[in-house]
Amino acid sequence: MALYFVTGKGGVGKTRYSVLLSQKMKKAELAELSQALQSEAEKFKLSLSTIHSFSKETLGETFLKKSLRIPFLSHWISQSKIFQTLFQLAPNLYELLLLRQWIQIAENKDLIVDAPSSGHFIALLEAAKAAKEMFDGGSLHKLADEILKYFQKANTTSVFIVSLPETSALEESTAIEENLRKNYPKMRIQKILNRKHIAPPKELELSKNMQQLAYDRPKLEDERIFSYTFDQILEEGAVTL
Amino acid sequence: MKIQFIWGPGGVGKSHLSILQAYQSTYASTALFTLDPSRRLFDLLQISREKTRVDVKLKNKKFFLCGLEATQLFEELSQKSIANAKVRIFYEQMVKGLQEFREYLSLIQLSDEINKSTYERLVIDTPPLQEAFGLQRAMNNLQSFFSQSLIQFALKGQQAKILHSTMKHAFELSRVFIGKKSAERVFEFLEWLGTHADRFQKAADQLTKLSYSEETEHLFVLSPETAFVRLEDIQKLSKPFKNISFVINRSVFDEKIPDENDSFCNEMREFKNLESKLIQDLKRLFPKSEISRLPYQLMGDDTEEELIRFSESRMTKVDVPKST
Repeated sequence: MALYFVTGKGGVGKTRYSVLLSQKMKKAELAELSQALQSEAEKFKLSLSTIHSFSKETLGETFLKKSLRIPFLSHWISQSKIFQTLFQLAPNLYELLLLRQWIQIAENKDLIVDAPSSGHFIALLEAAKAAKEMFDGGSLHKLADEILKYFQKANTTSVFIVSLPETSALEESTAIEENLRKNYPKMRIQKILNRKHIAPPKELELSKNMQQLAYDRPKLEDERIFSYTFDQILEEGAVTL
Repeated sequence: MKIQFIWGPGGVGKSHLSILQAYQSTYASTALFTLDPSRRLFDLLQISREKTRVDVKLKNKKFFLCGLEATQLFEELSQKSIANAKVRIFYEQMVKGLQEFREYLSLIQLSDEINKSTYERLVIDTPPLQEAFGLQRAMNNLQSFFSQSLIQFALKGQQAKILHSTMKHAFELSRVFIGKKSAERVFEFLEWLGTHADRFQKAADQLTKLSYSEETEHLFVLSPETAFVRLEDIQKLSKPFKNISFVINRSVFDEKIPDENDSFCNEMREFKNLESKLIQDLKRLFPKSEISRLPYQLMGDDTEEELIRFSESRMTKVDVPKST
């Protein structure tokens, strides 16, 4: 059972890819931060398996329950202004707790995470390292350690980096890949090219603009992706993997 | 100074639209600020990300580009009251690790820049929509963040006995989670931050007033594929704004698509349907807002030539479709 992250530049189709991946991995569950999976699935009239979405409040309270082991006290503290403020002020705390939740689920089932875009995704993974450096002791330090150990094990985590055949998306994918290979050598990385365009087989009557999009765009895309390798290339409009 | 905020989901061309707005500005002097931590504008304009303030010349158009950045702010704040090395480290971690904190800081910087600015026109590029919520929350909550938070406790703690004991409990609680030394650092940091509370509160007030003013324009960039759920997000985000308009980038509405069954024609037909629905939804949810469109153009190389061509595109206003 493993954790599968889907990331890439904003707007490349992470949510779409997460939905399609869950259709292929029938027993996998999904997780997200942005409440977009359901509406994406509806476009294809698909029903999705469990979607996990954790609010800060839920995570905070669950964490307290585990740390303090006294349910009513945890609830009371989690409602207090002080705790809420501390929670807000603690860097990386939300990210740490999220990672921990996802890892816990992935210990029993395959979990596909519709992750944030590039920079935020890297920052999310880094939360554990940062927490370990910032906090010299305490339960968060311990938690950060556990998370880092998980990412350092083989066969626990895969990352799908989704890109478009556009310069900025391609460059950003390369940057994420380099970062992951350097910092998380045990993670399995797969590179996905989304929305590759194919020229129409016939000559069509189109405006100048549309002509360029129909016939020039596929050729330009081929040139742009020439020096890149992908594990999978999805054509524009693909509805299965 | 005429201010315009540019909002939008990721991948719709918000960065391009921000540059277009600055490029097409008819004011004597124009500035383009970016709150987007990805600094996409700098990449598009082929300016090194090491720079934060640059005079840009694109063909024969000039504007000032400024990336708002938390570490600069730290240097300024440190000049007012010296932050020791521990506080500095904690500040850097807060900036890296806490998106909301970054947002508060970038807003404070924005407020400072607006006060300093002598430009007639100011275009402000924001982070992608999901993150922009944090900005709006920050704008709404900046004041309460500082007035209700532990910073006030830290300041008053020395004076009031009750508050002091609350501080003590908070300290004990945090020790359990983050260790003794870290807890001390957190409170030192809060104390330091507290010395700037006034400034932050003033910035919050100013920005709130500014963004909710009728003089300030808010342009939302969308594409035909923008999901309905995003429109609901936009409704929430834009509730306090008075002057809202929309531009649909990658519009195909005026195009005639042949009745063929290849992937290109299918894609364009799908876009056309989606765009039609999008316009209907926009008219329904935002009846007073102006809607424009920019035609779908060949893009993707990120060259200067491509950028100039895009920046010279004309936005055309949308007529309400006859069928509903």
